[in-house]
Amino acid sequence: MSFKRKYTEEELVTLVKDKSTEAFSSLYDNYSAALYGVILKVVTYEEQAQDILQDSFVKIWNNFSSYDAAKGKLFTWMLNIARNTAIDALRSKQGKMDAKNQSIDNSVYEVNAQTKVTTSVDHIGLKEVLKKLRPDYVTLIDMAYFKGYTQEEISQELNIPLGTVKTRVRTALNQLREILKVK
Amino acid sequence: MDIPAYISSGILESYLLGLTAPEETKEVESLARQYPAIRIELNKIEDAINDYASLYSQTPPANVRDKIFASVDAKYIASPTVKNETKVVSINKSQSSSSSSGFKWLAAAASVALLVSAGYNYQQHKDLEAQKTANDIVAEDINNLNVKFDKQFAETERIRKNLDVLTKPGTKMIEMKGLDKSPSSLALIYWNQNSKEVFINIQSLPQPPADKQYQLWAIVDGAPVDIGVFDILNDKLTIQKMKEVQNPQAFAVTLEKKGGSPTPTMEEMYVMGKNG
Repeated sequence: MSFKRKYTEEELVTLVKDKSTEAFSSLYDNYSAALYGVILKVVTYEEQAQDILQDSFVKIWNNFSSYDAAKGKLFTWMLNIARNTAIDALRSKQGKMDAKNQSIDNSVYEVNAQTKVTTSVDHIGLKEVLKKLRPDYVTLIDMAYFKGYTQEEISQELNIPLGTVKTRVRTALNQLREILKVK
Repeated sequence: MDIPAYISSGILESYLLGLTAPEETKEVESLARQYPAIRIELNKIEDAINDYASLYSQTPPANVRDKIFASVDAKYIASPTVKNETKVVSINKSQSSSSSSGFKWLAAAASVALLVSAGYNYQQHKDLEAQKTANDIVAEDINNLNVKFDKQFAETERIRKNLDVLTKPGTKMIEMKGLDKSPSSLALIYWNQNSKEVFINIQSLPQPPADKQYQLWAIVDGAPVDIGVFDILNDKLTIQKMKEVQNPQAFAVTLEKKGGSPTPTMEEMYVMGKNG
């Protein structure tokens, strides 16, 4: 619709808190692709990812009153809901995650490889970033952010002392920040 | 408080990636409220992470949007507002001065009209309220049914996928029977001689202690080969995919430390079965 107006984030938050489905629709249009991308990165399978996206948006709608702008950005809050919902689903499928267990995918979803995502979408930006970012930093960020690993699990899996996980994370994100700023 | 040191410790990045323990999370949040430098740094890292996450964006199929809005709309259907329009009866002063009896009649008529109108509105309001409640109940029912259906569908899908594996040409079933360690144990292997895929189905194995895990081995050319560790899922209909293996002579399960061992602990062997 051409007369569909753009809201500021503040307006969106107020309107969605008041249960405006129109504002929620705008929220969906703005953020669904990013949320879906993150969910897919966590669970890999499209059908499951779509269910999780649906769950996430219903959670966002139902729990919107608990969003606190003072604590962080709306986008971050939404991303975290999607990410945590996806990670929970992943964990409940795989049972307890064990670092070394990763080489074997216990997921029954593995059985039918047809539904696996083919990344046909043009991710030039992503490719560039991944080319510049050190591969072990990519692994580190992805393990923490997309797979929900704990510091202990990262320390075991990457064979680095537990005490240095945080500084490693900082170095990795510093490089990421540099790369993203250049763009 | 040494703010620069705190910032460079990496705790802020860890917090935003969800790596911090609950007490650390609280600490970061309270310090961010006290020190603007921390808040600013957090915002920058937050932006970088969000930008990175956004790089993976993919537009979801349109039907997902429909499903979300169907479930959201069902509960918040735009309720028609009750219009309390009361008919205005004009009271003309000039008329009243010319005829006081006429005015009385008019006033009485107006009162009656008002009462009738108010009563009518009240009834309409009650009807609408009842209708809204009924709508809510129906919406709730639909929602519950959808949830049930989704669960059932996922379960059927899972069983269908398992059946696909079991009925695939070339799949052999190998029964691994309990050994002295646990004579009543039983686990089944489905090995496909074409694709070399291995699936395990656990019928009965004791729950291992928290620091241990079962590991599956294939005997190939007389030597044990690791096929992966697995957890006990307490569901006899579940099959778990393990690593592929060429020409196994037998399969066996041992209890090992979490994550598995390079070689099997023979005295901890629970079940075994020969291929062929």
